[in-house]
Amino acid sequence: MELSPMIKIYKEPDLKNSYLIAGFPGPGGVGLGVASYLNRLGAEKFCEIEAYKFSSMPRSVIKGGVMEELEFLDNEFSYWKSKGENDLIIFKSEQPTFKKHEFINLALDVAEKFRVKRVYTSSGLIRPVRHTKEPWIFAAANKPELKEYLENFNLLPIKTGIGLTDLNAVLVGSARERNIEGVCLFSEVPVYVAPLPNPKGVKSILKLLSKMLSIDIDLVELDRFIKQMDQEMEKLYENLPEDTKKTFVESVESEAKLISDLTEAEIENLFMEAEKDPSEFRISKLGTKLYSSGLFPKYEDRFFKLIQKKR
Amino acid sequence: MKLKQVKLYKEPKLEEPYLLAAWPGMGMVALRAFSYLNRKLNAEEFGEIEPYDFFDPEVSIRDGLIDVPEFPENKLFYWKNEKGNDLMFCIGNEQPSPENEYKLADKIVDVAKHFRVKRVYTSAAFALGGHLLGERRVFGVVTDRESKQYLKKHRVMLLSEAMQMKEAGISGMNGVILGAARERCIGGICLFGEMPEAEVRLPYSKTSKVVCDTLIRILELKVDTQELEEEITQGIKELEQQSLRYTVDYKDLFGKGGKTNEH
Repeated sequence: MELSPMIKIYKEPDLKNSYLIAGFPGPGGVGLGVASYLNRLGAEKFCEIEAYKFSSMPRSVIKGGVMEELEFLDNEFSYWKSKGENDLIIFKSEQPTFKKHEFINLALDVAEKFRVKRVYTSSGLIRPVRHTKEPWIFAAANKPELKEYLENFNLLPIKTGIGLTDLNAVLVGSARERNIEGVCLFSEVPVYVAPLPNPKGVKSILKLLSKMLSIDIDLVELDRFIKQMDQEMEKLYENLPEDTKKTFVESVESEAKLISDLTEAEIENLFMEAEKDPSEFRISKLGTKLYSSGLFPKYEDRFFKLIQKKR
Repeated sequence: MKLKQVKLYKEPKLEEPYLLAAWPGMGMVALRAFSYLNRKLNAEEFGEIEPYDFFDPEVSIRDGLIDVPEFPENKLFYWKNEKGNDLMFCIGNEQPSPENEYKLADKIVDVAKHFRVKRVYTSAAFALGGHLLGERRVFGVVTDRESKQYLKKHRVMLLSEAMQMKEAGISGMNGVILGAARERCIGGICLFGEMPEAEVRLPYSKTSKVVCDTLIRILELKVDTQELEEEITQGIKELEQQSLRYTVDYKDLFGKGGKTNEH
């Protein structure tokens, strides 16, 4: 198979029945956090995509006063040979800003070359919950046969969701075109800390993955980070207005069955991005989504507050 | 024609066509007016601009399964005019991010150049504070002298004359396409319709109809806009019903004795 010259392969490991675990930036940094942490298994880097045409924000790496490198988009593929049935390829990447579709397809080209059978991604699902709650995990697959497989793990199924932009979800959708199985796992992320790293979410996904993939992952390092972040999140929670606090639910099992649609989570994503970058483009995008989903009146106050802030 | 990122299903022979280009914008004026005209004329789809380099992929989950990525569309249509200039439409259902606006506009100008487009038409809303009683007016903004004379001939006032202002802006593709076309020697007209500030973020506005009427008049077409008026009225009613649904919930929460603006 002829690969694009943008794909740089340093080594061609002999992998059997490999699964791809991929992580892009997203709410709570869950996807990227999971992929990064898995590298601790002792994974070795073997490939990367030369990404100058996919990024509008290059960084320079300066060592000892000399600019050594111009980094456009940090990304890497590493591999880990397991003692069990499936070897792992781990792909983590920063967020591409241009030609995302092409970038995702380059990653899948690498997956195809190494005959990946299935791809797992993860991300955060922004919800009005407290940070002290043990995050639930929601799941969606890209093939009907996988739905049964997912039932074995007591996950909350996602039934619908329109227009998801999270690349962790997009990768699984694109994999479907290549006939590669795919699963996207979403861990709950509280709305008031969505832009912050969420190690609790990362841990819950890793615990699940260790069961799904039959691998042992030492999660002790994460516990320290969780304690640290819990303190920060507690401060942010305390600063919320009282009536907002009241709307956040604790664990209510019956409510879980009602969350089968990701549209509101996607709206939270768009709010998060518009709050970070209140440009006309992002505000219009959010407004259009609110109207097309019929949810404008529900978010009206919040939307207009955002516009006023912009002024 | 082999143009990268452009897919043509056929190559119609067009005589000095005008390009009518529209994307979502304030009050959805351009998109609604131009889509309506496109539909009423029964313009034929003949191609599209491939979205992969200009838009982000999105996926939907249906019945528990993540589907293949979907993209916004920028479709090309044409209509042969027995009594005047042929028309080409470029209708986009989403704005690209600001970094991609110029690139997309330039690609569309590639198509325009190939078909020897004579002039580009777009539309925008001119937001005014307060309510608008009576007729909403339409003004023109041009990028070349010929278009200026054309508007004068058809009795459309220039925005600068009507509002006595030196500067205005058109955000997004409805503006950028005019600039990109002008750079490559194709002049253009933007029809600005008056709109109350409150309607700027709404997806329905009466301004779409006045803009469509003006466009029909200056292009000397025979198209009725009664259906467009009904579409807009119905749309506004649905928005009000949506809001009312939430207002009713609010009333329930706070019990009787709450005052609402019922008139």
